[in-house]
Amino acid sequence: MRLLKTHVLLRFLNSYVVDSPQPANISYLWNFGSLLALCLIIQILTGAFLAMHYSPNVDFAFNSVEHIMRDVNNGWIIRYTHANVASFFFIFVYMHVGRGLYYGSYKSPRVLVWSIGVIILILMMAIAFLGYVLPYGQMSLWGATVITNLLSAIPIFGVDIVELIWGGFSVSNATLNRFFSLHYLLPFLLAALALAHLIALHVHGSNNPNGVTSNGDRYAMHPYFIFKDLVTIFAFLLVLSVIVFFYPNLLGHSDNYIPADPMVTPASIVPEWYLLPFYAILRSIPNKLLGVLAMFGSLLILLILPLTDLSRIRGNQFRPAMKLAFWFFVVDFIILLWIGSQHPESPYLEIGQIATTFYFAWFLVLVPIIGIAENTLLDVATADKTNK
Amino acid sequence: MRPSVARQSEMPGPKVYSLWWGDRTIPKQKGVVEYTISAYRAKAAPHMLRNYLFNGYRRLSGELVFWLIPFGMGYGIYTWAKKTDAYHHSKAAHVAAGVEHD
Ligand code: HEM
Repeated sequence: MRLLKTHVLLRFLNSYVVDSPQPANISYLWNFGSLLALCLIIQILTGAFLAMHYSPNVDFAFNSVEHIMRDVNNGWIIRYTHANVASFFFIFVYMHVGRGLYYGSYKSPRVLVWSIGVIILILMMAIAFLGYVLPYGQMSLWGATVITNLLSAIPIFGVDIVELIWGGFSVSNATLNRFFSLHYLLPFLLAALALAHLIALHVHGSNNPNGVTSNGDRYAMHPYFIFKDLVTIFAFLLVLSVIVFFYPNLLGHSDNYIPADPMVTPASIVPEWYLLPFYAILRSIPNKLLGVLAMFGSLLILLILPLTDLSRIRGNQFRPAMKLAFWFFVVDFIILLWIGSQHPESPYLEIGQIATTFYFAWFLVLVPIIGIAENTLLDVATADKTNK
Repeated sequence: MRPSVARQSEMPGPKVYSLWWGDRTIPKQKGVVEYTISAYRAKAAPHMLRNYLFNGYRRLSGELVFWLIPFGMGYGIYTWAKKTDAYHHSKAAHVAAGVEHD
C-alpha cells in the first residue's frame, strides 16, 4: 500500500487532509478554518523574524521597531504583515464563530470542538493584547495600563495580582520583558489547541448547512476541498497584499507612532478594533468588578449554547425566527464594536448598555425561548388529532 | 495489492472515517457514502460565473428580509446617535442646558 496510508505519521496527514470524507454540501463558510490555520502559520513565521531584530527593553523597544521598519531589509513587509494578519485573524475567527452559531455547530456531538474553540478565542485575544504592547508606543503603554489595572478590581488581593503581573509598581521594563516572552510562547499553545480542535472535530466530522447527517453524500478532502480552500487562501493573500502595500496603517491607531511616555496620557485610550465589542461591554457597567466579570463572561457565555439551544433542529437553515434572531445578534455585536470606539457619554453610553443587555439576553433568553416555541409548534402540528 | 486490502485496512475512506490517537483498529462508520470522479474529468471551477454570481445572488437574495430588518434598525440607531451627539455638542444644546457661552 502507499506509504501515505501506512506510515505511522504520514497516515495521520492522509486521514486529515487527503482522504478525509467531507460533506458534499458545505458552503464557503466552512473555509475559515483553513484561513485561520494559515494566519497562525504566518504570524508565527513573521513573528520569529521580527524577534530577530526586536529589543524588549523600554529604552530600545520603540526604536528597534523603527529600525525594523527603516533599516532591516524588507523589515517593513514583515512588520506590516504581522500587524495586519493579526486583524485578519480576528475577522476570520469572528466569521468562523458566526458560522458555528448560525448552523448550530456547537451542538452535540461537536461540543468539545466548540469548547476548545472558545478557549482558543480567549487565548487569541490575550496574545493580541500582549503583542500590541511590544512596540511600546503611547497606545501600547496606556492600553496595557488600563487592561492590567482591571485585575485590581478583584477583591482583597487584586492590587497584589496587578503588581505581580507588572513586576513593579507600574507598566515598566519588567512588564515589557515578560509580555515579550509570553507573546512568543503562547502562540505555540494556540497551535497545540488548534490541533486538539481538529482531532475533536474529526471524531464526527464537519457539520453542514442542513444540520442533518451528511454521511450519504461525501467527497474526499483532496482534491475537492483542498482546491476550494485554496480559492479563499489566494483571495485572502490578494486582499492582504493590497492592505500591506497600500493601506498598512488603515486599522492601526496613529498614537502608537508616538513613543510611550508615562507622563502624558493620550486623549482617548482605545484598544485595537477587534477588542472593541468587549471593551464596550466592560465600560457599560459602572461597577469595576462587575464590568470585568461581564467582559470575561461575554466570551465564556459562548460555552452555554449547547445547553440553552433547546431546539430539536440543528442550525438555522429551516428556522426563520432564529435566522432573524441571529442577524439581530450580529448587528448588536457591530453596535458594541462601534460603541467601544466612542467616548462614554450620552447617548453612546445608554446604547452600549442596551446592546450589552441584548448580548447576554440573546444567549440566555432568546435562544431557549425560540427553541421551545418551535418545538411546541412542531408538537401541536404533528399531534394525532384523530382519536379525540 | 488486492482491492479488498484497502477495505479491510485502516485506510480512511468510505467505511473508515478518522484515525484516533493510538488506535490500532478504527471503529467503522456505517452508511458513509463517498463520491468521486477521475482527476482527468474534474473541472476546477465549473460554470464559475453562473454559480458564483447568479446562483450566489439567488441564494443571498433569499435571505434579504432577515438582513434588512436588523441592519435597518442598527443603521437607524447609528444615525440617531450621531445626530443626538452632534446636538449635545452644539451651541444650541449648551444654551438650552443653561451653560454660559462667552
Ligand atoms: C486559531 C483559531 C482556529 C483555528 C485554526 C480553527 C480551525 C478549524 C478548522 C480547520 C475547522 C474545520 C474547517 C471548518 O469548518 O472551517 C474548524 C471547525 C470548527 N471550529 Fe474552529 N478554528 C479556530 C477557532 C475556533 C473558534 C474560536 C471556535 C468557536 C468558538 C471554533 C469552532 C469550530 C467549530 C464548532 C467547528 C466545526 C464546524 C462545523 O463543522 O460546522 N473554532 N476549526
